[in-house]
Amino acid sequence: MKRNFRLIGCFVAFAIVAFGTSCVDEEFRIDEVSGEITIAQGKTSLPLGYLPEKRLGDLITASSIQNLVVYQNGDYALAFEGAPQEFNISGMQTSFAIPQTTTQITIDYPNFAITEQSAVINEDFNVGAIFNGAAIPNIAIPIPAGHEITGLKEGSLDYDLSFNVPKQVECIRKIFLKPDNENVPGASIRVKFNLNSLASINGGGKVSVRLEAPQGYELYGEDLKPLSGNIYAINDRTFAAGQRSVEFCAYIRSVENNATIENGKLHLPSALKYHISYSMTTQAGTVTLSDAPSLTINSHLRYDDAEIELLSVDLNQVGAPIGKTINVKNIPSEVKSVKGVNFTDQTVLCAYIDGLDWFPKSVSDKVFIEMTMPEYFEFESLKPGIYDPTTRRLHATLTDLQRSSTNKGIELRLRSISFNDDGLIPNDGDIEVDFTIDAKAGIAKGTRVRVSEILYNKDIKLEAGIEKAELYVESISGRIDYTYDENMSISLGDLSDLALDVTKLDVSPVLRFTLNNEFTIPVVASARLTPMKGTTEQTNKIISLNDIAIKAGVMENGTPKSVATNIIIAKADRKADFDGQDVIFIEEDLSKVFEGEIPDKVNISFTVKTDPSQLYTFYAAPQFTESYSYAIDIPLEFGAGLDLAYSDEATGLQDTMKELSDMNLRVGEVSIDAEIGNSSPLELMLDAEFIDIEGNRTKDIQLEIDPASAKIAGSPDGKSVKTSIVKIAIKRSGNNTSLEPLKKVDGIRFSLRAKSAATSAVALNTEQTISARLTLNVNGGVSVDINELIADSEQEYE
Amino acid sequence: MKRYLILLVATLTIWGAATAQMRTAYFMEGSYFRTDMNPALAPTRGYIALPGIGGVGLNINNNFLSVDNMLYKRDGQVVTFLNEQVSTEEFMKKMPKIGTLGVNADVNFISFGAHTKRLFWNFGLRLRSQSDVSINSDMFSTLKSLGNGRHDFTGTSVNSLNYMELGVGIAVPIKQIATLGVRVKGLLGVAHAQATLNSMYANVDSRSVTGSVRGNLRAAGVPFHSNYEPGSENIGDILLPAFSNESLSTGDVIKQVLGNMNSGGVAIDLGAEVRLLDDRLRVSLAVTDLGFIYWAKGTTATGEMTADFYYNGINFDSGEADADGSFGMKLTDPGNKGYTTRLNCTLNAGVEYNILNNHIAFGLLSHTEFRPSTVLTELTASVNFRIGRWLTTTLSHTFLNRNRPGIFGFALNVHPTGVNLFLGADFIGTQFAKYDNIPVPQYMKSINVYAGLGFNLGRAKYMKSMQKNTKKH
Repeated sequence: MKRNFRLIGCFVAFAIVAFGTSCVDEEFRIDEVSGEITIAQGKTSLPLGYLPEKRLGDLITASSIQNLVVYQNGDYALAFEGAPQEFNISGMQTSFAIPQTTTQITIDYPNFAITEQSAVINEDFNVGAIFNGAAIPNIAIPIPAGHEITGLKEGSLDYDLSFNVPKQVECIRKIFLKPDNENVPGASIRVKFNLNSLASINGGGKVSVRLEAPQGYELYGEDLKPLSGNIYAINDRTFAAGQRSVEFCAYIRSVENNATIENGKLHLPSALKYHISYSMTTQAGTVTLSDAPSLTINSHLRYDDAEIELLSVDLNQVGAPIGKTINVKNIPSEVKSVKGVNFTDQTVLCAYIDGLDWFPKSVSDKVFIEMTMPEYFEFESLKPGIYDPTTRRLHATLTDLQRSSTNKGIELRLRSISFNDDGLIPNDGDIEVDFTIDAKAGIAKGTRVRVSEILYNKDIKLEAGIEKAELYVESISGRIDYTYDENMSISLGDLSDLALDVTKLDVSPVLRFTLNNEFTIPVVASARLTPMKGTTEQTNKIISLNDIAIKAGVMENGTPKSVATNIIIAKADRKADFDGQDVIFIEEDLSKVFEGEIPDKVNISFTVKTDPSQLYTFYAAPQFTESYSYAIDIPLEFGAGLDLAYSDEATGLQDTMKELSDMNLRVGEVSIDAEIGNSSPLELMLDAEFIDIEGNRTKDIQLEIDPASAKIAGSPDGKSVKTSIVKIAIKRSGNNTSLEPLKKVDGIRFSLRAKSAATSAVALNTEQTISARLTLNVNGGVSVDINELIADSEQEYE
Repeated sequence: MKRYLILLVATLTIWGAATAQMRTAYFMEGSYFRTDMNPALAPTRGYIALPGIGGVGLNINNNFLSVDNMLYKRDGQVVTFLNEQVSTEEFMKKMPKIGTLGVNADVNFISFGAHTKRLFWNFGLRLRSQSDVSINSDMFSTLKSLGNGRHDFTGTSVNSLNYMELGVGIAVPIKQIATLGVRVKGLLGVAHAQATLNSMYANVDSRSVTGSVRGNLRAAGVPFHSNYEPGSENIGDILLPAFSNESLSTGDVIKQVLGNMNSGGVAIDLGAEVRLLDDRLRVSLAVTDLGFIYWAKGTTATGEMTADFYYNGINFDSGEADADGSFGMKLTDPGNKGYTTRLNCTLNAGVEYNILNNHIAFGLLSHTEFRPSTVLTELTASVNFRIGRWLTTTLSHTFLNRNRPGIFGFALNVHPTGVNLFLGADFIGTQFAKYDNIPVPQYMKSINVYAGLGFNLGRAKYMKSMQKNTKKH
């Protein structure tokens, strides 16, 4: 028990030690905790707002500068341009009709007749008989009947065939003999076997005759049928008793030969071989032995026709060729001389011959006609081998040239008519060209023909000609003297507001002039630029340009197509801008046009002309349309007077400001840093102010810009961004920490005003930018009394 | 309505009987609470604790919230830490890097223990709840000083683990010098919820203020289910219809609730006590709540949270603030699988030296709680007065965890035959501020109070093996 009390005592002692030190801090009153709190006591920078990057392209459009354009690289420029203007140059007729043009040719026709010396064959000769193998004496003796008598005779008859042959004949291949009458095929050869005294004892018998003509004879038999070969043979033709004679007949139609004609004569010695044999049975009677049987051969060989081979025969022209003319009309008066006229592929002339209709068709292919075309004309054959442009000769057969229902002659494409170096001078827009054709005919060597076919005993009159045709002119070559004047004016308006300072321009103005020339010859242009102020010429600024070569137009499918010549007039520093482009760059400093007093307008007069000393090819078209356009641009660089500004405001903040103000907030030091990024060469000035709901500047609280940092530098190169920090303080009247003045603030207005820098020479560019970022710096935090805030909320709620 | 009734009953039960790990009670031999801290430390008597009267207790543990940390006296006035007269440095000196706030509560349904000839065994059925919050203290410093730069609040999380525990334990003496104790506990998972902010920061600079939050959450247990539409932004979709559909009948509700009770686990408490120097020196060591719970598939839910904001200032062109923010809580597909959580195991190591025949004992207890997001370590020194066999009283002070010297613990255990009355608090402040006329502890951060009435069984005795060496008193 005692122990327990001791233990209790120890515990109490410990408890006293432990809890005896307890105390209550009367001053630490949780029920009276101050509600004053401060958030973000340190220094904090918070984003306040920003202006997104603004391109100058967006800003300057608001300034509504007329004629303001932007280069491809973004540089600004003032640009003036003129819509395309047109004017016409009259052309020429492009097609002409020519009538049928002919020339008469008389031909001295040679005589192809062959004369002949007829050959007569008249032979009578005995045909010996052998009486029982011995010669019969020449006595009259009675012959008993029943004895056989035979006889045989053979030999050759010689005769000559001679002909006079014209010199045009190279050889006579076949001679046709004149038939005795129209019913027989040729000259007859009559063979008669006369029995004579044997007739009285003729008891009947047979006789055989054989005639052998020379090789090449065409023989016909008694039956009027041709014999094969050159032999006429009748075997064992019987004769009756008492018959006194037996007749035979053959015909010679033609004689072929290869004999040579010498000195115009053809001599054909001939020999006709004959063979006769007979046998007879006697009847009683008396026979005078000396009156033996005989053979008579008769023939009259007369020339009828011949198949000849000719030498080359010229059918010579008698007299001079007769010529005509061709007219090309309506040539422009500017064409001073015509050296040639070129025609299109559609220009085709048709040459023909009339007058040789009687020529047999088989010979027509052998008869050639040679037509020599006039020397100015350049033809092209549609078929090969007919026309030689070098000799200007058309060589064709009569068959090709002869007009008929199925043939109209030979077509030749007329390429051009070309004259000598001086050309032809148009007479009232027309030129006349002589068209005389020299033609001749002939027969080709080796032509085989019958004499009868080509016998003609008169002069031959030919008509060689060109059918009527349409000539399509493609172009005319010659000297052309053409001049055209034109005036235009570029109005600049009043540029004084821009304070353009051209003397400092690094990038000089450019005049672009484009002439679209349909005229198919190159021309030369000259121009004169005259700045005008009102009606007064600024004569000290006149610019003259000469000898600018303008390209010729071209023809496309028969239609003129204009070719543009782009002319750039600028200072040499702009040349690189046009490298690789098809332009004519003329170095001329146009800046002087804008120096000093800027003109209202610039008059430009230009002249376009050809060079008449040069030969040109002028393509035919009814007219040519010329057009031109121009553009002038002046890079915009600021002068001392250039003034651009951007201003904006963020409003609608009054409610928020009132709420903040009602919260009885207190702030420490507050300031704003404006970070401005500027890639333009312009110097900027920043201005900012609080505005009330009516847009007026507030009084009790305002933004104050540190003058030392207010100026914002421009970019030195117009590309890199120059950053400047502008310090803005918030000034409050009265209690410096209270936000009470904020109640009247509805928004912030700020503006960036651009001022030019006098020494800068960097052009403005659309892509240059301006941006701004505002940072709110709070040092000391934001303080508020929570208790008051809660009380106010409860009051508001009630 | 019915489910609310169920919740009310449960709440009353919570308040009806609560036990917790009480540092001050560790060396109190008559207390049956000590077996929760070390299964080898058997009480002197058997006991029975009934729901409703067995005990009431509350444990709120934190390392940054106190009157002293939040309020300051300046120029005769009390101001908050946000007042400009309180510097950031002064305030942050008192704040840990990660602030933790834990709430543990155990609802004891029934428990009893008894001595047999050779050993002491005990049985208990209780509902346990362990919740804690971790906060990155940068949140406070940012609020106070802000400043340009990155403010990182990563490390913030909330975790709550709730389960039923049925434990059977024994304490077995080993010869005369040691006792080993083990308690095997079967666990029935009730509810688990965990929300973690993997990333949470704010960047403040002159051009923009940005912030981002990325977090995820997961939950499992009886109130939840997996049959929701992934991508849904309605967090309520994870609740079992029994808890969200008021039209269900009580029977259906009970059926659903019972049907969702399929998460479970096992835990073990291990302890040992070694008695030296004739039982004057006792060294004990225990690990409790070493176990896990598997949350069954079908009862799990997951989600993710994203929040972003930025403020770049006012666009003077449009006049509008260039700011935007987004917050999204989206449920994700938990997959057809459950997950496992470990319990907040505890390591208790104590050493006691008693004098005057064990009437006065000086103890030193190291108590370490392994929580999901932090480890809490405390060291409690105590003086235990064992007055007779029926009265024990203890004074203690817990060091570490930013406890100031003026905070003490006190416990009183009256345990005559038949009755066991307990009253105690681990943290009692001695410095007070005033609210109206009510003293308010000024420096106290944690609260761990408990009171309970149980029934003793049998006479006070020590275990047979201890009796030889234990002086009777």
